[in-house]
Amino acid sequence: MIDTNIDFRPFFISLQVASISVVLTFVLGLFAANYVYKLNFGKGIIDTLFTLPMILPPTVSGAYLLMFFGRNTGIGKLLENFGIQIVFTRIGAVIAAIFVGFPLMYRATRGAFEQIDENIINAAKTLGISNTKIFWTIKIPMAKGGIIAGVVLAFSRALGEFGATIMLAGNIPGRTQTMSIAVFSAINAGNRAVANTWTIILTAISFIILIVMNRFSYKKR
Amino acid sequence: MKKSIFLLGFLMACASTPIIQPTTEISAKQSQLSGNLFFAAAASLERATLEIGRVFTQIHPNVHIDFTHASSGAIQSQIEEGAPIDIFMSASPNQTNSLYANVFLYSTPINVVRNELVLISPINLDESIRPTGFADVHTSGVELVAIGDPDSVPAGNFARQIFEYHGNVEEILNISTFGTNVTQVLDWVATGNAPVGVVFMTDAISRQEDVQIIEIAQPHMHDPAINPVAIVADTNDIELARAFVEFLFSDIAMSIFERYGFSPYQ
Repeated sequence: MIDTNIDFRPFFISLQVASISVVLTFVLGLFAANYVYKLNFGKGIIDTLFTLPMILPPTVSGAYLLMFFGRNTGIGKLLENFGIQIVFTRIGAVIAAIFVGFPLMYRATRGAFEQIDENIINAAKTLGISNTKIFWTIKIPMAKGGIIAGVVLAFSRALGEFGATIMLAGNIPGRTQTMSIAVFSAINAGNRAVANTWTIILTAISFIILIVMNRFSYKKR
Repeated sequence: MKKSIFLLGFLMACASTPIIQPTTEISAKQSQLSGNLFFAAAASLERATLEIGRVFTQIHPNVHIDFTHASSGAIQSQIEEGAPIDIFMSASPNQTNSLYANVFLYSTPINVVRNELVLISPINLDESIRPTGFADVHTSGVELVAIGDPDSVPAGNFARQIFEYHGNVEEILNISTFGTNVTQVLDWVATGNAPVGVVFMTDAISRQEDVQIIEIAQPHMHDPAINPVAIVADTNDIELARAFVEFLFSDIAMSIFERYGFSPYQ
């Protein structure tokens, strides 16, 4: 029992939120990984902090985000003065997605960086190649597999994010109601057909993501 | 010395008994009750039902009650999917009536208490955007209205009816964020993240230090906000379930309901 006449806005909202957040997660995760893996001092602490959102219950993440971006607390109040609102907006949904997706990107990339043979980088250095050039032409190509895995994982995590999103961005149909939230609302309202439709769509998307990911990892061998 | 301590203890026990006595007398015939109950109640009923349950288990120490609190629509779906719930108290008759029609209930739902719907705002909301009532929420300058999901949260359904009555339902729904239960709506407003919201009177009272009531909806603006209770068809212990439902109508339970802002249905 499915319903083909459902409101498809959650699909586009989800894709938009996941796409924007994955671009930002990619940049943040890449540089965070490059920074942390070279650290000698305090690596454990920073690594733990960067990984924490992956382990935290999404509702706890949501509570932290509300604390930081709420309209009466912290950064949220500051931004409000500049006319930027985070709570109950799509920006809020993007922030929630970045928060939970970042550790996946960061860890996958850091792992890949650590696999690179130090001798190659040292050899490049003795040849007088700048650190920036080493980063872009040696490290990134060699860590490609891990980086792609990180991007795919962060994207899927962003697509499936529910707990922190509903706390920070709310559940506004047509504005912040993502597919995961639409499933929840439909089940609660007893709209089985609508819930089934979203369940099938989300399962299909997850399936495609895994196939794409496997393709990349097989190609490497 | 030992004797006097014993005497003191005895006197203290005597002094404290009158508080417990009335309840134990009422239920002397039921004191043999024992077993487990799974009681599901709407989010708006959380605090009152927890307290009533605590009193019930004090009277019947061999009874253990597990509680779950969510939107009435969510509980309805869970019962339809066979969740092992014994008793369901809803925030609106819609859910219990639908369950009854589909033979998920042991007996007809019984109305217990009433509630009211209120429009609330954070206590410190900017005067310039503060609406005067349900009628001008969409023109007051607020950009967001928090209501329960009208399809699953009774308070949200009542809110939709109230705005339908005022003829501004479309404008309101366009700027509404849907809470998964009424408590979430209350929290969005109480924390100042939403400028206005529609909740039950009992919810507003529970956070009166954070929210102010702008308008109380008149009863003719929405379906009656009645809280019915029902025993679920595949309960494991009909005797115990019945005893608990009866207890909901006792003077003790009613006084607890009233303390949280509910009024008796009768």
